[in-house]
Amino acid sequence: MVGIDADLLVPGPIDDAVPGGDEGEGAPGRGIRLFVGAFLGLFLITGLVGLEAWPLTGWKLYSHVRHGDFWDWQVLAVGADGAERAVDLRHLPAAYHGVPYLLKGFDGLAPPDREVACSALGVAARAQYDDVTGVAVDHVRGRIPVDPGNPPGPPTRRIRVHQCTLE
Amino acid sequence: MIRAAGVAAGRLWAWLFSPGSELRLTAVISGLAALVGVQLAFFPWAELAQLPPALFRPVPVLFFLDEMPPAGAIVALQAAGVVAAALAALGWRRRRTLPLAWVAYLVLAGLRASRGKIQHNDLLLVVACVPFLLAPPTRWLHRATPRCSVQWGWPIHTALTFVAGAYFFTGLRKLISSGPAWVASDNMRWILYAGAHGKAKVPEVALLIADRPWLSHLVAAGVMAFELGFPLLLLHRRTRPLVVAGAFCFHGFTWLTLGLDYWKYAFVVLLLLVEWGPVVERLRRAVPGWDVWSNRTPRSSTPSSA
Repeated sequence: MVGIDADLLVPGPIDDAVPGGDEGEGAPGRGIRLFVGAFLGLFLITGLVGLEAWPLTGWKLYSHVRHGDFWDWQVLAVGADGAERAVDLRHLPAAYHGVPYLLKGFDGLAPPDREVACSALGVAARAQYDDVTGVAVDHVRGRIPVDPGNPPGPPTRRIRVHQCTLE
Repeated sequence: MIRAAGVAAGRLWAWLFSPGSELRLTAVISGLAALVGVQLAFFPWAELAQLPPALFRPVPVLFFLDEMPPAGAIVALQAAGVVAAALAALGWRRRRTLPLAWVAYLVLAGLRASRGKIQHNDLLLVVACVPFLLAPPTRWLHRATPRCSVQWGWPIHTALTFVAGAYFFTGLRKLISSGPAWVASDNMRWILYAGAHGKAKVPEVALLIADRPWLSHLVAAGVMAFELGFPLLLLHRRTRPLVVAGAFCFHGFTWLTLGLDYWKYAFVVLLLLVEWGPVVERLRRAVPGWDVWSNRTPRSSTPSSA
């Protein structure tokens, strides 16, 4: 306890406050105290349990151990000749920046919803390539490159999850 | 154990509702409003309207939306939010303008988080602003005094509790999900290698650390210690400048090596931890004729910016 002049340990005037001021003036009412208690309680519960209820959150930032090998998602633009080219999701408008995360739930979608979502990705594919007639969504396994001179290699494994034809 | 927890909770509760100064509260609110205004002003929010409805995943607070609102509605909300934030920063009808700016930010940040990924980088500012929405009226920044009262202390103390909790829970989640392996394994090396080949602003820094296993472990341990130790560092007045410096170093490091923009976390920490009273007083002394301008007579002693 020695040396700790913490607000928490000695409730009272803090910081630039003038001691002896109107400390009891306008003390917050019961409503404020209830609100603070309730909001703090929700904040603690979501934080402790790891619940996501935006704007409350479980604070899962880089919480899982990363490895050199990883599973990711890839959106492919399919041309009229059947050629497949990867869509660079990082260079799409801000609206599409959540697509790599959104695809994590792609497996769990019902078939009609997958078809609709796949078609929606066609808009993103056409923003990068002119001759797109279809879109494929692949689950891919890759390895993080260590050498700064080498670009990431091709996926070591590829599982096609869905493919759709665009109108 | 239970008794100790009860005593700690009692102390926290007493501290939450302990006195604070009007001057500091006014300064913090002005700073937070300005920060909200900057967030609202400098992001292409209207681009969010391009997201097809099939890819829209509304966050809980926007459960009533089926798709992104049209660009015109988003721009209108953005403009209203920027104006309200500017007025709140100046102190004009703050009890109305600050909530308006906050709601605009909540909705737009919620839309940004409705693209499929939880956007953590907006959350601290959104949550830290909540207590100030119910804060009592204060005089404008040029008239506020260092006089203290319980009514002016609780918003800052409550917001500080949220900030301390946010950092602590982030560290705790790492510990729960990964255990000591988060530090002891090659975890940090792969995070940095991925960052270097991804969005890193200065990939060389990421690679410099990732190529040296001992340095990667040290950085991982430092991150974990900073997050878990954040509430403890707040306890001691003399360590608070270290917390502010640590927050800027930490978020600057993630920006350089991973390209993740968490600068607003550092600014929230700065706003809530700096004792603004002496800073503003020094400014007042430096400005000739301040007393005349601020009309600091007994007539102006009633809070007027509400």
